[in-house]
Amino acid sequence: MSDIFSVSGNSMNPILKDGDKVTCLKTTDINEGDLVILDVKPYGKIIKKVKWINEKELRVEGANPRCYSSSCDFNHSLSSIIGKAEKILI
Amino acid sequence: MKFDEVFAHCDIPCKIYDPIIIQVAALSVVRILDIINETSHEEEKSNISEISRLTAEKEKQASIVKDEVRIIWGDYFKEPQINSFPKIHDLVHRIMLQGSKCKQGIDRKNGEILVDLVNEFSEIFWATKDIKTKSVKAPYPPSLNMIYPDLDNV
Repeated sequence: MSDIFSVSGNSMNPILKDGDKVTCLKTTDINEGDLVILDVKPYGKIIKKVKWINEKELRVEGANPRCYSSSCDFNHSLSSIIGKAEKILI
Repeated sequence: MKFDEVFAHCDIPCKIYDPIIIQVAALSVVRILDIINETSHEEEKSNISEISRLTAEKEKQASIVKDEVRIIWGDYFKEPQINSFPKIHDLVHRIMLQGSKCKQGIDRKNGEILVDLVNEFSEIFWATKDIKTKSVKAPYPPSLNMIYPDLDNV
């Protein structure tokens, strides 16, 4: 099952630009380099790239070297993952 | 069509947070306290001028400590970092009070405590990034121990 989301912000440039649309596939098959949507307090739903992932946690990163997000400075539990994202053209 | 949003989150575009500014300012406070205590307190014009200049600089460096700690605490620390290091609020409050003590007096001990508190703040800051730290004697007066990030293994 998948949902569609609109990207807000510039931290994923050039992979994803502000306003781009992505599908969110609910899956546990997530690997390093995948785009993921997480639900993380206090940020809400965020989209990032997987830096590394193991059986308990994952770390994410942005794509835009000019942006900094404190959400990339700590590990996230796997339960925060909403799904794997893929850019779509609408 | 309207879709729910996902946030490609970023805090600030420059990516630079580093407590070294705070540590150098805290060390400067101790250095200035030392010079003040070494300067003659006889009421000659030159001494009054020197003590006035040093006191103004001590005020400035203690303000840098307080301002920069507030920025990192207020802008960088968010719920996940605070949950991991819940004592950060108390530590920041103690730095604020200690900074004011250094402004008010010329007791070197107050400056040393400020350096210790700032080192503790720095250690926590780097721990939020999973970066190990080391304690090294500063290579300049007042030669107190400083916490530095061990960036060789990052």
